Amino acid sequence: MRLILCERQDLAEPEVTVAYREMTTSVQRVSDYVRYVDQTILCKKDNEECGVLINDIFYLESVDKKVFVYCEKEVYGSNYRLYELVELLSQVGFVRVSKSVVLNVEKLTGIKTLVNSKLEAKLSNGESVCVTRKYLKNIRNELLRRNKG
Amino acid sequence: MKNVILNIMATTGISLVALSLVATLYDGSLICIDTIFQVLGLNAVIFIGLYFMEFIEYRYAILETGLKLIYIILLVLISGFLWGWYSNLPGVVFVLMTIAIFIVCTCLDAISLISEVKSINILIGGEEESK
Repeated sequence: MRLILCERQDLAEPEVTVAYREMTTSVQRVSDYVRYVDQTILCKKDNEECGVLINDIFYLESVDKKVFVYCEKEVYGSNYRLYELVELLSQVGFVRVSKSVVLNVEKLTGIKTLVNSKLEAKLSNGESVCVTRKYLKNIRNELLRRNKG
Repeated sequence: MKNVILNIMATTGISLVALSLVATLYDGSLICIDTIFQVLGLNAVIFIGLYFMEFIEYRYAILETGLKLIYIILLVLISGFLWGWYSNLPGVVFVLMTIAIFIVCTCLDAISLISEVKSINILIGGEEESK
């Protein structure tokens, strides 16, 4: 894929144009990335509110009705309920992988079966999260959706 | 739903093969048509229950397996009582048969899970993870 960067003083904000002959996986991923690159969700860290970029989120976990947002190294709290975040982020490649965990498929590097038939999702930051078999089809559907182009 | 029906049919087939083997050991020569439908009905009830048990997330795999096995054995024993199976075979044989079928089905399920995970890893592009 050829990259053309062009500096233009007349633009109020950066603009991205993706030119393609046919919609491929790569084009779809670039467009998804651009669409959500600046979007944030409101989180809390040390009682201070801050916006976390959606693309930086690896996974979300609900523990005792509190939602935690896991980035590469940082962990934030969120006032949202998990189901609200699932609704909000499902268009951006986040899928529920167990009752309490929602995963960013973009950060997924592989799935491993454990000896006891349990499943483990490996993330690009080296972390792993448990996947319930029932939700395996969510991951597959999201990957198929992304590969459709 | 398609998978549940497929599982019911497959397990009914495995159960009938196991039943035929056990019947042969007890010098049996035929299986009644009633029995086939009883086994099908029992498997349908078992899988409907297992479908709802899937909604519970278990902390330990052994607990999940144990609960499922106990549930299935209980249903088999109740069915045996209702349909008079104990006049032909002792209850313990049914329990042993249930455990054997459960092990076979768990192995088949594990094979299917591994292949499902492998196909997902191919989609991710992480084939190495599945090795």
